[in-house]
Amino acid sequence: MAKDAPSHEDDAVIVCRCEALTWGDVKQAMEAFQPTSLRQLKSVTRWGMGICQGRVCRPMMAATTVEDQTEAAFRLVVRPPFKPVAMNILGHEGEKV
Amino acid sequence: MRTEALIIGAGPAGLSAAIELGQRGIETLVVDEYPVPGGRLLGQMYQSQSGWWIGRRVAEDLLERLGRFPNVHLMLETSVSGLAHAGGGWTATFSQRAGTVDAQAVLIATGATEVPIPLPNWTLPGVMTVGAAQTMANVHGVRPGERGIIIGFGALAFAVADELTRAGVDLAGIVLPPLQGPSQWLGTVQDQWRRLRDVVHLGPRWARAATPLVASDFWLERVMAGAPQKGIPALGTVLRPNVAAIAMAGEEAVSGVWLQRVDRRGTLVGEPWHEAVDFACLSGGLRPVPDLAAATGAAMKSSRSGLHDVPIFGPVGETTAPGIFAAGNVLGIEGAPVAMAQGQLASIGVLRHLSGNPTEWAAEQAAFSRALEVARERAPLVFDRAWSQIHEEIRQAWTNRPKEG
Amino acid sequence: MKSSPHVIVVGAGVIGAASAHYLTQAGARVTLIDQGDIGSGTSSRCDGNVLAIDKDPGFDSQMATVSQQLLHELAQELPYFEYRRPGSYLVCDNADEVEMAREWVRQQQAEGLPFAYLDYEAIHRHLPHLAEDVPGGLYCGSDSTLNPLLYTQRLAQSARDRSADLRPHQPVGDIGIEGGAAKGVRLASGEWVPGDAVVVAAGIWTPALLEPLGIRVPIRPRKGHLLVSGKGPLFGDAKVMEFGYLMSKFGRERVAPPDAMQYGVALVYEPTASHNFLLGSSREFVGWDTSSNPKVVQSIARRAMRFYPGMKDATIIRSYAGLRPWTPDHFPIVSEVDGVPGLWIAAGHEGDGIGLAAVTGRLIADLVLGGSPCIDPGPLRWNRFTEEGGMDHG
Ligand SMILES: Cc1cc2nc3c(=O)[nH]c(=O)nc-3n(C[C@H](O)[C@H](O)[C@H](O)COP(=O)(O)OP(=O)(O)OC[C@H]3O[C@@H](n4cnc5c(N)ncnc54)[C@H](O)[C@@H]3O)c2cc1C
Ligand SMILES: Cc1cc2nc3c(=O)[nH]c(=O)nc-3n(C[C@H](O)[C@H](O)[C@H](O)COP(=O)(O)OP(=O)(O)OC[C@H]3O[C@@H](n4cnc5c(N)ncnc54)[C@H](O)[C@@H]3O)c2cc1C
Ligand code: FES
Repeated sequence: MAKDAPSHEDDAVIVCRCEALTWGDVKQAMEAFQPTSLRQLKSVTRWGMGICQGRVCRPMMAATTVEDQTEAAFRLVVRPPFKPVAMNILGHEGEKV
Repeated sequence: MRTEALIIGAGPAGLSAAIELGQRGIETLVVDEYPVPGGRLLGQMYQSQSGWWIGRRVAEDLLERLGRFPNVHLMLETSVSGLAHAGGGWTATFSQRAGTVDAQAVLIATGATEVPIPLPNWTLPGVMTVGAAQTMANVHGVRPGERGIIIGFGALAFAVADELTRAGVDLAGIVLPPLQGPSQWLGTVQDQWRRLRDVVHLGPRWARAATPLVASDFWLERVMAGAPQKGIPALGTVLRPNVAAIAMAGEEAVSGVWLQRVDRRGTLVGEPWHEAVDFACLSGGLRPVPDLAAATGAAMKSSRSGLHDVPIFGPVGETTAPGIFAAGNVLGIEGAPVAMAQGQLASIGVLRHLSGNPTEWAAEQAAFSRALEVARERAPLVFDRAWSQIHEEIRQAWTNRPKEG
Repeated sequence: MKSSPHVIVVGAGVIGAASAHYLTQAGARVTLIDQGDIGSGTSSRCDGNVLAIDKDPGFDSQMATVSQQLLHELAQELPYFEYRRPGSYLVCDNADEVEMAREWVRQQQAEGLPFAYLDYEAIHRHLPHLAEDVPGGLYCGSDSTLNPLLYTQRLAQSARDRSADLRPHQPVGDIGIEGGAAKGVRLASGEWVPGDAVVVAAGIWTPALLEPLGIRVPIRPRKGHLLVSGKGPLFGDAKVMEFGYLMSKFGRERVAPPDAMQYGVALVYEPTASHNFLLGSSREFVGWDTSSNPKVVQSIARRAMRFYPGMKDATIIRSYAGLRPWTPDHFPIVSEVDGVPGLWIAAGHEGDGIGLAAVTGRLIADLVLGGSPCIDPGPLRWNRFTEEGGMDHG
């Protein structure tokens, strides 16, 4: 059992499980790309693009400080399907439920 | 398949609306992705001013009443994956079944989701959200572990601590979350401490006596920062207001937690230490998931934190998208009795939309509005103080919304 | 022109960003302006295929190939943008398409391009997940792929590193013309940004910027949808598209189910570096709406399963749609506006803007700064539409 002092490293904190993205990765991307909106941050890190689609991790994104503070800068649009769907269901023909 | 009304979510809001619609002869389909109807009611079990609130019983009662209406159908294990405007109504698609449902009116009653707290190793088995622990203990009758810790202050954290200790689970206490790095959105240490104000009335008598003390920021800060490291006894466990969890420990599963003192400003001080636990509950708060409402094109209120993204809505749950209504936690986090009254109110919105008569059922609307007020007054828990302010802003936005024509 | 002119680039999509990259590389001072953030337009709602496989022999193919070479160099020069060069496949639906595919390969090979026809046995050896009845296909070895979001950001970043001024969230209101020449732009905020040249790289919004000046640009939004899978087993590492959408090049009718015909759906399978895949795509003129149409999403899913029956259990986690900047002859406009010195257009790349960004950016730098052009700019001139009377689209 690891009883040595805990790691404070940013790389030890996962912020998006689906993309195995750490807080260290996010900080690096903030530095490299200087995103001006959460949408741009999302596009360069894939944060919020995993199977969770931001449902769970969206509030954590507020820990980053994107330069622009307007509503447009923090609005993220989620697109359907809102829950993962198998292809044969998505492609099914007919009206039967 | 076609129906007059589609209700998404069989929690207290959706079921209450379904009963009202059922009673008035509306063809109604209720879908829920969970195998059991009842939503978050299923896990609720606590003592309130008016006695025990046992959510499962409330849900059973709602379902029994619903069972009387052959015009109401329940479809479980069905997630709505899309909602699109079609031919004056709405077409819903699902993830577990092929095909579509066309409805003239849709009530979105999808509740809220929990937000975890990111700290090193939080993805280890044994780390869960408080709501998951609540479900394990109260719904499945399973102890989440032998000895746990609750991380994060908030109404749900306190309620679940109470429920777990009553169930005989040993807790190392309720501690602060880390307040740096990706947890910054949780606010400052003062913000965490202020949440105690919303729950002191639930504490033991001596704690209630402390209400005036915690009401002042000045004293709150001093009492909290000066508390003994081992904590203040409360809710069958200890509240440790100047100790923060900074990391989870373990290889295959959680075996402990790293803790450290924080001072009055929330700065970590001294050396971290390790305490053995085999589970941990994270309480980052609750969040209405806005996706479905946003997809309909309804005007939304968005927030920096994403915690308060809700549709702009009117007195009977109507949104700015024609035929789309919302009720319950998807409009803001409050208790189940509030959700039930919101569901009833939204049924009026749906009825009016279906009949095209915007003034009918006025007496019922008045009665449900009163029920909503009463539910709010009697609410044992305030989940997040921000909501009353947000709801006020939404009331104004609704009144001032641009109208067609 | 001055030794270090100041060039204003309007639009920070992949085209504007690539232009800024090459302009700063050639020593110009650049201000790159966008109404949203960098890459917020079509360049973040698309695939990342860099294709020669579907280009007509001749100029079309030459432009694509030069771009592929430039991109290959960019991949060494810029930080990582998930560039890979796995080649790409076109697969046939029926015997008619096989016949045309053979013809296509013959034409391309005659130009010396790395194409190969794959008969039944070969295509199924290359692509073991394909439906059994797929009769044949072809392969192009030079095609590559990248992450368009990252690529656009990297290009903009590179320009910024060479002191370009990046101005996101600044809508350009008007282009300032004085004495018949472009002299700068007026931002919606009222700020005047003076410059020696203005490059309009505003994709589908280009007509809206230029029409107030009486300059007609026949670009129209052509909508396309994409589906995103969850992480899971892939159906091969190379990109696969269907040959069907090339049939019109041979004056033949494509044969496909009615929904695929209605929404212009043709298979595009693109595995990504993130262990998932994208599925496309549709082609429709339906205005400016970028919301996902469930009917089109359904049609794309069906078309994909026609070629990959094993996909039926794969999960889709998201869909999205973008608007391609279409022109009547499917070539972009990379040109000065005749009669308005200093005013340039770099737009109208339809479904190829990611692939053609490198050659476009390079050509803009060559032309604006007076260097010798990397490809023949003739076919990309703006006035080809005025001459041909093609101005009435849009
Ligand atoms: C973890 C947690 C614990 C809580 N504990 C308490 C507590 O102890 N006391 C208290 O007063 N309040 C508690 N609440 C607040 C609680 O949400 C309300 O009391 C009440 O249950 C809200 O009712 P609702 O009908 O709006 O939503 P819910 O009860 O949450 O019901 C929503 C239903 O919608 C379904 N659903 C969601 N999305 C879809 C979809 N796309 N397709 C199909 N179905 C869908 C869900 O499966 C769920 O059954 C808790 C909330 C959460 C999230
Ligand atoms: C579904 C789909 C799949 C595709 N797949 C591929 C592919 O695989 N390979 C490929 O090569 N291409 C592909 N494309 C095509 C490609 O996406 C486009 O050709 C390319 O993105 C166009 O880039 P652009 O820079 O011209 O336009 P955009 O990216 O739209 O950039 C224009 C910019 O101008 C800005 N702007 C507009 N007006 C103003 C103003 N007044 N002031 C300031 N800024 C302004 C906008 O905000 C925008 O950012 C695809 C397209 C779609 C829709
Ligand atoms: S945790 Fe990966 S997208 Fe939200």
